[in-house]
Amino acid sequence: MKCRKCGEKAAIKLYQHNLPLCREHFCEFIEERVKKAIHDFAMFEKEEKILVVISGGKDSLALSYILNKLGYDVSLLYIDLGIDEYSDNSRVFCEEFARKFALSLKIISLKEEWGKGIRGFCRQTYKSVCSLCGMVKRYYFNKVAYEEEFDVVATGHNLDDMVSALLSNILGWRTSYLVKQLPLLPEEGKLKKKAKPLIYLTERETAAYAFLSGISFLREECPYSRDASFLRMKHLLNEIEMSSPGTKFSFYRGFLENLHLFRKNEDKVELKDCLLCGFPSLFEICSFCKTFRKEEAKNAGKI
Amino acid sequence: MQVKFDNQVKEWQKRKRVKDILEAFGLNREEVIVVRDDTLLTENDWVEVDDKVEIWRVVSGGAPGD
Ligand code: SF4
Ligand SMILES: [Zn+2]
Ligand SMILES: [Zn+2]
Repeated sequence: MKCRKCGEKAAIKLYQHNLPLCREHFCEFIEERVKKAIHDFAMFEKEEKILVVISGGKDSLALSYILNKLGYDVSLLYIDLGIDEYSDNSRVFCEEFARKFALSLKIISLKEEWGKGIRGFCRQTYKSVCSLCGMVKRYYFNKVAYEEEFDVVATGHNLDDMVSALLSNILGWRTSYLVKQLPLLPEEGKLKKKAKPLIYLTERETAAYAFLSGISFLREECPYSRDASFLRMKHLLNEIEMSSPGTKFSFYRGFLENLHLFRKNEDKVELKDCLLCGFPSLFEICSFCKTFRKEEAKNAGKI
Repeated sequence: MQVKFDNQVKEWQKRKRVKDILEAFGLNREEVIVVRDDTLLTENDWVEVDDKVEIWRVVSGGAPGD
């Protein structure tokens, strides 16, 4: 199979575009897709400070690499949840990446800050690891972005992440959640805007890009992801994609075009400042403080 | 040839196309990349008898901030 652009041996075929490409033209193609997403949704400008949340995996490292290559002002944040060997390994990949590309990396470790990893808090709150994990990550990236005056938080969510969440929410008709699957969430008070520049790329594309660009990334999965229901959604969508290439992309594009149908179901909620930490919250004490500052919350008579 | 995928290893004594190898493992081409040394293989590529190839799963369950 030959590269459509130069006739050299193809490194990959992109079925969705019916396009075989060599290493060089594939990497160029991927970078153009990221530029297009940033441009199409006016995500950020060159002079803005970007905080990229990284996990050591292919998506967040490929995103950091591309943004850095395109000349954006990028800093990295890794949140160490203390999930045994998995978190230790993730941290090593993040540190190596930051060193190799001379990028600044901030690490927040639950064990160092709170004396125990995320599982310790699950026992205490009877919540699942995954539900606490999402809350903790959101809390810290919002906090760091605000306190360190970043303009935007960028995450490595790709097309597969977006369409699997979309399908899951549509199957459950949780229409008020659908707007969270937007490529850009605007700034709101202390919450900085959030951008997903990889939304035009599939997981296979980001993995191939990371590999062909010489980025070492963690291939081990979080031990809790085996139960993550949206993995099932991903497999289903990939079955369809295999027989009808382009379905995932057109599903997502259709969602963006029909957003007005769901916008009216969007929950308009008033956020208040948490009494303990001052960050935006639905209640007087935010979920993070209810979990991590339980005693203080109790003393304040709020739980 | 030797092909590794997760904890499984399969061996064949005859050259084989990547497409047929993926089928033998029951894998969807959208969910993997196929690595030989520092290059990727397309579905049409042949894996030769002396080659060692690895299949990397690319579907992940969690993303930062999910
Ligand atoms: S699978 Fe792992 S990384 Fe993903 S939400 Fe659950 S605990 Fe967090
Ligand atoms: Zn080429
Ligand atoms: Zn709080």
